[in-house]
Amino acid sequence: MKPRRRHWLVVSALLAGGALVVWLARPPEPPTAARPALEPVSVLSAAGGDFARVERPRAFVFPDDHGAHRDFRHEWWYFTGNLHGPEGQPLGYQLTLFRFALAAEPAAQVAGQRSAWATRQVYMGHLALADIGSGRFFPLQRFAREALGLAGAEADPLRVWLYDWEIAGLPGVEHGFRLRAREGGLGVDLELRAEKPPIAQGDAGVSRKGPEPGNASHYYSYTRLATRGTVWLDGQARAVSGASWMDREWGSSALGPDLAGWDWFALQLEDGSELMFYDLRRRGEPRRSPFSSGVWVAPAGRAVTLAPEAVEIEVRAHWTSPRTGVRYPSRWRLAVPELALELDIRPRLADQELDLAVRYWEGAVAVEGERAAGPVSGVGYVELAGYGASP
Amino acid sequence: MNRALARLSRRYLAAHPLQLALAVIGIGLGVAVAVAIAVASESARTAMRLSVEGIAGPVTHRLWGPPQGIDESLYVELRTRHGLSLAAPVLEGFLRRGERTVRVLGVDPLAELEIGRFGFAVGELDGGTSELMTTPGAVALTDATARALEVELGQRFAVEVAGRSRLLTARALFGGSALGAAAEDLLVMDIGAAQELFDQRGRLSWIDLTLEPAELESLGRLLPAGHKLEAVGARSETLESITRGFTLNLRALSLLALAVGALLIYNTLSFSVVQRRGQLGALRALGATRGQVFAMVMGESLGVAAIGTALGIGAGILLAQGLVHLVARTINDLYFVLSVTRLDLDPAVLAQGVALGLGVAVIAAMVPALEAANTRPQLALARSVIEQRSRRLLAWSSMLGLGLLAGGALLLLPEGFVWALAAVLLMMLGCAFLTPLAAAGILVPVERLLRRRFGLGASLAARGVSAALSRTSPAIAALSIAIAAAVGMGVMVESFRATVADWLDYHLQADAYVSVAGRYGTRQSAPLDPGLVARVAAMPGVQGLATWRGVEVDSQFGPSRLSVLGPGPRSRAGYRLLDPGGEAWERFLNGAVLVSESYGRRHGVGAGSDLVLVTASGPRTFAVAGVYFDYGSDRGYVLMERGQYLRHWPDSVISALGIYLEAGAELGPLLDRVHAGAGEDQRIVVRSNRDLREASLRIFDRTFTITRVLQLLAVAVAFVAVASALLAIQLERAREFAILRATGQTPAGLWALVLAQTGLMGLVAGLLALPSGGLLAVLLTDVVSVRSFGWTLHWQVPAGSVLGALGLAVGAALLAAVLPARRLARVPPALALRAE
Repeated sequence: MKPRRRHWLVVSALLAGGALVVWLARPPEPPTAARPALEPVSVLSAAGGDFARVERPRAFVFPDDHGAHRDFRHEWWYFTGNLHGPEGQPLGYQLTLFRFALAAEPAAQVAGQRSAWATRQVYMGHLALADIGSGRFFPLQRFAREALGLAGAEADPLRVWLYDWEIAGLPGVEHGFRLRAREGGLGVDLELRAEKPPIAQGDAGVSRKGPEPGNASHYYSYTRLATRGTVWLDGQARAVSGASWMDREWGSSALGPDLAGWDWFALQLEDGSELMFYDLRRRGEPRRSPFSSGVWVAPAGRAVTLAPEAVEIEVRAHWTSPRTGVRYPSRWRLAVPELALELDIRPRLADQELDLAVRYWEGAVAVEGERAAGPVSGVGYVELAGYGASP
Repeated sequence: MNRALARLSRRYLAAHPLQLALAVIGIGLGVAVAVAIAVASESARTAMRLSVEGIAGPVTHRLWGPPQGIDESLYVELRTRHGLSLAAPVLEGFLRRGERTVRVLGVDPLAELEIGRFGFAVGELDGGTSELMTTPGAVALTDATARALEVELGQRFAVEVAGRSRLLTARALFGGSALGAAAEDLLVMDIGAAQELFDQRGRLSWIDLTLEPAELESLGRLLPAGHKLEAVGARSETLESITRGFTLNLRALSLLALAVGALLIYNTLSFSVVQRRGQLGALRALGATRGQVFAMVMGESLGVAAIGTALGIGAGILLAQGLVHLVARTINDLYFVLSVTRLDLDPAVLAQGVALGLGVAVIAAMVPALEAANTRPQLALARSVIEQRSRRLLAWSSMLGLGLLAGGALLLLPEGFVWALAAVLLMMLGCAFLTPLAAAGILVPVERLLRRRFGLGASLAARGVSAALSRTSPAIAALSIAIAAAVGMGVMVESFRATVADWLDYHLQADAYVSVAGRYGTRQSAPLDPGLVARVAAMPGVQGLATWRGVEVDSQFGPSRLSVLGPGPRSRAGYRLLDPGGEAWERFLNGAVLVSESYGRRHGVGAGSDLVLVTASGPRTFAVAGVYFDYGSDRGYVLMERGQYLRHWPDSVISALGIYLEAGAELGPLLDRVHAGAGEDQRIVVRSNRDLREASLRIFDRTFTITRVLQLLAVAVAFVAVASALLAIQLERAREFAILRATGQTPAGLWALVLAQTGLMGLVAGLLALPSGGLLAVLLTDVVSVRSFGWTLHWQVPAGSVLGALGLAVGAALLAAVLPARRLARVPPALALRAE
């Protein structure tokens, strides 16, 4: 054997061995890309299947209607509020428990053989605290199934819970709630007392979302709930007081395919009035959906329904989330000519985005403006949904 | 190295390609076996760790309850009353699909959303999560598992759970890359569906938790009796410690193969030095320094080893592919369900292989390189001078051999499995160093005998071997060590098998046994239908029943296997005690426990000790009444009487039955009735005493397949060693043979001479292997087995394996001689003479 050939033999043997090792030691396949978060629009626009539908007005009965309506696909107990600490430190909070049915309940349950875990009802909870003074925002979420007492909703006495987060009735108070939710160093323990009775939204409690029959939800609100209690931030308890708003809504299908999302305003003015308006945005269409709607509640409690064309909204600024890249409106001029009301609405904190299983912006806002030529101010919450599913 | 010397080196090796090839193959095989075993056992270890940690994700702790599981209400209480977040309930079970054992994890997809395991990413509420929670029998699996189980997405497929046939539906795929091997043969279900599938309503296998140190303490105080928090890492350590003895055994075997490879390199190099002595002398005379000559020989060795190691690592990885299945099967048979489907090529393991190959080459080359460096700068020394000098070395080598034997014996004094293995290796090395002396001791009288009986021609063969002892003894040593290993392991395995067979004879007292097919759970055996137990007891011809229930409970020594016996008419005879006197059985029936021999040795428990077991109502102390022989598991068992068990654990499940027949009752019809009694619903395994005995021995034999494969590999390496040594010797003696030819010896005569010499070498190696093999057998059977498995074995020396060893040695030697003999006989004498 000539040296040159032998040399070649050695090199090729080493190469073959090396190639084998490299091939066998190749890295595993790359992880599958994380799925983008769901858009609230898609959660609410899926077909209803065999669920009950909202077709006619109903008289709300309390406390029964505070409890779950399992025939419907989804519902929520939605609390938001602007609070302040003992030295006036401003805080915003949101506590929402959602119920979703994964499928319509079967006509008759197969009893006995089923595991206690078997259920079609799922709860999701969102707790968000906005520490406006320090510019920090803390969104949290939880999930549980309605089984074994892990989560559920009972009307009398009122108790809606998800693990140890709980919305309960206040004993001896007809329209009052106690909210308790803690996780890590964050938490709320608040007592809420209604200063005005609940109002039925939309057409006697039926809030239409589109032209098809049944494309609607039952909807009532407590527009002003005097609030006091404790908020925990960084594990530190802080005595707080302020005002909350509660929305209660259930249905089986909410949004038509032509809708891009919604902007929801819930404002509490210092003159004792409140204003709610939801602006249903249409895809590729600058004019809002004719099913957009609102209400103005006079200081004495009288409610005036606002037609879609009664409200002018002009976006004055935008904010782009550094987290998700989604661009949200961030300042508005809202005018209701028939009430001689013109308001400038500004987020109390730009970043109040909840990048959770459902991605949306839900934040405390401050309001300045004029009503009947006199100055008026207030606070409120704004919800912005459908601004971009994936970055 | 000097370039001229390097070229000289290359030329030499190129001129002797066969020698080069043999050395490369020798070191390659040695490295291949070592790497294959290291990779295979490392892969098994990784799979073990992944089966725990792969599915752990961010989980830090696991909450365990009693063996039959945690009551699910504990989870609810921790979640709703104590505000524990990042907690996930799990129900684990096993089912069969065809021949595959499949692990099932029942999880709460909503709890997993928070943890992010199994691809339950936030945002999937509408997808897999909902499917799993609402479709009965829905499972999620990886693409690879779907292929392995021959299942397509959306398809309904049949599986077998505790002997019962069930239908599942593949409803969702998840990316398994984050889980690695843990995702293989894994089905993920909703926990509710899993509870229904395994008939475990109300129970959880464990709760996975992500805890801060502060939470750990406060949670610990909340836990009810019989519950325990365990760090995830600690769990995989527990699994590893269970199989440690087994993997160590494998490593030891692989070192043996490498030792044989080292002898081979030594052999090749020392021969090349002898052959080039003239050349080396000339080099020194021309001005080459000792260092240069030393470096030249060392460089040759390293070059050969580098090629051999590279090839060996490649071959080792290929070999590991096959070996890993054997390792996994053994672990499955003996320890727990483990799916090892991919090789874990840890760079550290491969680096070890490289270091081993090159290191061995350096050590093997040391003596020949020194010898070369010490060549006097004058014309070659006479060959006889070298042999004479090597005879002086003989004394040193023998002293070293004796020293190693003595050192090995000293290593036996401390307790512990690793010391015993080290002792085995040292003593085998000692035997190798004693080989030249022993070979001379055998050859000299043989030579005399041959001369007296057959004359000069015959004694020439013996002279040829003994005169070239410096060359022949490594070959003889290599062969004899390999044969000794074969003998030693053969005796151990035979003794083992005979012991187990004997144990089965008395342990299986009932006439027939009933159990449920397939694996069921990690910590408990599959339940038999209680209705069936009652029906069997009432069958005509049945004298009585023995019942068993296997669970894993916590003890002061960690998880322990508890075997619960409801004694039958002759159960007592099935458990033989190490210390047969006393009232141990009576005490056992009255609340004390017995422990198996391996359990006792492993944990240092015996008659009179106390044992703390964590019962459903917290830790309880049990008296140990005695120790019984058992070869079922090297982890060992704690044996408890059923009534006693029921007092401490609310678990009336029975997982196996032993049926005792009335005198005169017939077995066949009864077995049919039992089968019929089970009905279609649960597939049970009904076996007669004899069938069960045979099935047990089959598992035993399967377990030792891996040992047999290694034995063969060691012999293969030795075969190469012998072939290379013979080739070297015969080539060296080409001139001598040419003279014989020139003086009238026929080619056939030369053939006979060469074959006689190699046969003689083989015979010597075989004879020498008997004492060293015997020593190895004693060490393996009486020391290593007891220390690693905790089993006392009864000696069994198979005459076949002893004669076989001799035959193997001679046969291997003769076979190895064919090539050199053919070559020598073909070379015209004139050419060979001129070559000088």
